[in-house]
Amino acid sequence: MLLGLSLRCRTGLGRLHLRRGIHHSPPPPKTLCYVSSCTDPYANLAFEDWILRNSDPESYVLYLWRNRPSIVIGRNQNPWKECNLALMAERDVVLARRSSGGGAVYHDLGNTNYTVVMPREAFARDMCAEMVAKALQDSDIPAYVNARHDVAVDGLKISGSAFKLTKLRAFHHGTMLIDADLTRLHGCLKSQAHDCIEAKGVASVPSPVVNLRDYSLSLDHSSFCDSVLRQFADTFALPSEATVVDTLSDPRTADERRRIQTWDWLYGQTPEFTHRFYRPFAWATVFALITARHGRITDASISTAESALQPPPGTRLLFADIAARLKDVRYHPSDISEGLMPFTDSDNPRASELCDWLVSNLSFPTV
Amino acid sequence: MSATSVSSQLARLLSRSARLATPATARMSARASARHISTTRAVARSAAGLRVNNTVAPVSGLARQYSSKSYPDHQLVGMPALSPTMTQGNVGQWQKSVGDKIEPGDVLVEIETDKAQMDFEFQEEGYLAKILAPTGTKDLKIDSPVAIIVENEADVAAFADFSLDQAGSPASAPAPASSPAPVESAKVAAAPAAPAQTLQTAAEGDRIFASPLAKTLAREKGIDLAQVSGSGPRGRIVKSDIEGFAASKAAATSTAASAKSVEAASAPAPAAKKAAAAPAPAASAGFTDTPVTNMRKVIASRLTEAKSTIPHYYLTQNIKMDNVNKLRQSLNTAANGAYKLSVNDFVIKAAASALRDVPDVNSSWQGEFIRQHHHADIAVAAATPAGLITPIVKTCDAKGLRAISSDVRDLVARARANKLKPEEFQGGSFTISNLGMYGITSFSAIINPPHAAILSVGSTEPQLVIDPTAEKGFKSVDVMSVQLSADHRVVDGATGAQFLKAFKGYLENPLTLLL
Repeated sequence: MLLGLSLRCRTGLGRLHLRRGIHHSPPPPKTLCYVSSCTDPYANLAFEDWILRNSDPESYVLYLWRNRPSIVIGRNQNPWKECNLALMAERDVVLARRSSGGGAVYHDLGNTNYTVVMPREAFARDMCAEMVAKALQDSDIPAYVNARHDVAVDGLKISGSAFKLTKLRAFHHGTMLIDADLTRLHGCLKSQAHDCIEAKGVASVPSPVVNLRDYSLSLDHSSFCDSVLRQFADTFALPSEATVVDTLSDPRTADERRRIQTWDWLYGQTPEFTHRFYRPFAWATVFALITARHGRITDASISTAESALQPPPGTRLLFADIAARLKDVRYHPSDISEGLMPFTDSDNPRASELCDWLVSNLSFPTV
Repeated sequence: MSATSVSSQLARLLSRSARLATPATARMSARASARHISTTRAVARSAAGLRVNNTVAPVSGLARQYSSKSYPDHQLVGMPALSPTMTQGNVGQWQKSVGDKIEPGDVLVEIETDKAQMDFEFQEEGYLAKILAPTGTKDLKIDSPVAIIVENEADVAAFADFSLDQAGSPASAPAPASSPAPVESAKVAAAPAAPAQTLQTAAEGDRIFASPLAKTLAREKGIDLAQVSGSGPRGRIVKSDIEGFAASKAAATSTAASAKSVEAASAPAPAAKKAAAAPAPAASAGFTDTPVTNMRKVIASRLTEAKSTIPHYYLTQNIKMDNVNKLRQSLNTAANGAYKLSVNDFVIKAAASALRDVPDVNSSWQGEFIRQHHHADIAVAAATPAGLITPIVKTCDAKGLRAISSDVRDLVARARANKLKPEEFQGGSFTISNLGMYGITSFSAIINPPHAAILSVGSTEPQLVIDPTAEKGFKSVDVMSVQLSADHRVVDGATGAQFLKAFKGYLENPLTLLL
């Protein structure tokens, strides 16, 4: 199918050669097109970063890709707040963090991503969104760009956008919901701890979404890619080449691929947040206030309500001990349970109760 | 002291453009930056010359003024404007830690604004002494302090307990050195801004607002209140302003810190005008704003009232104008220059006669009653350079074509010269609007309240109709399309139709006008 796409690309180019340079006063900008044949989100994101840093500073590059089911959060977002990590683990949905800003999005094979990399001065938020909307209009879908620079149909969002700017280059990338499995998505973006976590990073703005499949039975990944490529050619210039890239095995991006799969990138890049939760035990209601930075606990405070009855003797000391043990521990299930190990095994029943409770609240599965 | 204020708008604009002119952080497209760069580069260049002597002194002066503990020379870095339209941003990951050496071009911190992730590259050398806005700080306005940079590594430790409160109100602290460019640009801006400053203080109105204590102090020290800018509410001069003014006079750096006093924002009007004159163009290409004239306001309110309150309905009729044209021609050839009849004159006369036949249309809605007029005072819509006006031809039913023609001509001429008396365009019972000379074939006009109807007349176009008597089986007729917009509260559909039928009758058989 992908080979078919590349062939189609080439014949498309053949048909379009007459339109070369029609929209620009000479010389037309240099343009390139890459299509990813791989669906690994890390590989695709790494390749996108490679294009950003290594393409000709004056060129415009179109990159078309899609991922296996995954949730991609923005650069400064909080994965524990944005995603239901347990559900994701259950449904085999992978977590990835991109380098551009914005909110969390769901990717799967029914969702096609497009990236346009351009010179920094040429950057304009709506330019590429308009280009994609036009590509859809060519397929008889009444798409338009809304106030949040997203492409929408009938008031429902079908595409989200995010941007990244560096010294010389800028990119706009966006999603396009063609036929995504919205039931699998449902729930993954609703974290259990959403209300308990106060995060400093950007919060997602939830919008009702719809698949383009509801508007067109014939649209699919390859026809969408064709339309976008045609519109890209119209807007900028005909690409000199449209290359199919196997991003997973590309040696140029191996390091970046590895880097964005590490815990440090996925979770450790989270800005400071506070996590509050409580539980009424038989002997007292205990409140926990955890502050974390870069995915590590910087401060933990376990206490009972001030107005409560005197907690049993020794618990205050127990709280302090546990809090001390949690300091500097990563928000990682194994790290948490390891940190609290001495207490879980102790004879003190309250201690083990407390630890079980803390472990269950703080252990988010890593996806 | 609230340091002597420079026009805050001007400083901000210049500092922003100067910052944007620095090549590495943001390159602007040639189109947009053409005007920016020539002036801001000049600013930056001249500023660069001043840099060595002046960067540090004003800032440390400021710090010395505010802090209980004296800090070594340092530079307060503010949130940069990484794009021309950026007003605030979120702080992302810090790429440098406290104590790190910063080379020009190093990424200091990532900034996120409205889904766009950008790198803030610092253009000077130094060491990061303190991070004032940790990762995740949201919605930080441009120029709000984010970090402190020092020149010597040894000074880093001194800032361990630095906090913004010690540096005075947040508004005044970041002003001096968001980055080097604005400091110097503010200095350079001082010269043109000095007049702006007096503009700011003097133009507050005739009264100078000052607290009683400030007034006493000023009198003692021999300071002219008009020269002091206020930092109290609404630009009020307070004691600290007087003290600061005296101090700054002594220090003889009148432009020391371009600190925006918190209240500088309250005096933007005169400053803004000056700032607008400053070489920082607003979006000038694309539109022009014209203030609304009285006439335009009246047209706007009356027609809005009409369109929204009157239940309009529209009746169309096509009228064969051959006979009128023939009659007009023959009358005009017999005129010998005494008059020249136009098609519109016939239209007016026909309408007047039809109004006589169907007097219900010659009415107006008065709320509790309907007024039926006895005479046809027809308002004729005329386009003047100032706008649309409808002079009234009185008692058209009693006037002949010649009288109507001369009246209309006279009224329109005076309307264009703006010489109409009020009773000549207020009142009337019926309106005729003719856009035929503009080539409009048909249109639906808006009723002029309190009239009950308006007749929209289009152009006369030749049309082919089947004519069995003609040799070819068809003939060409001149057809004019008219539309009657009627107020359904006063004129029912059947009544309107009757009016149009009568009107059509008079025009297709113009000799019946004699009856």
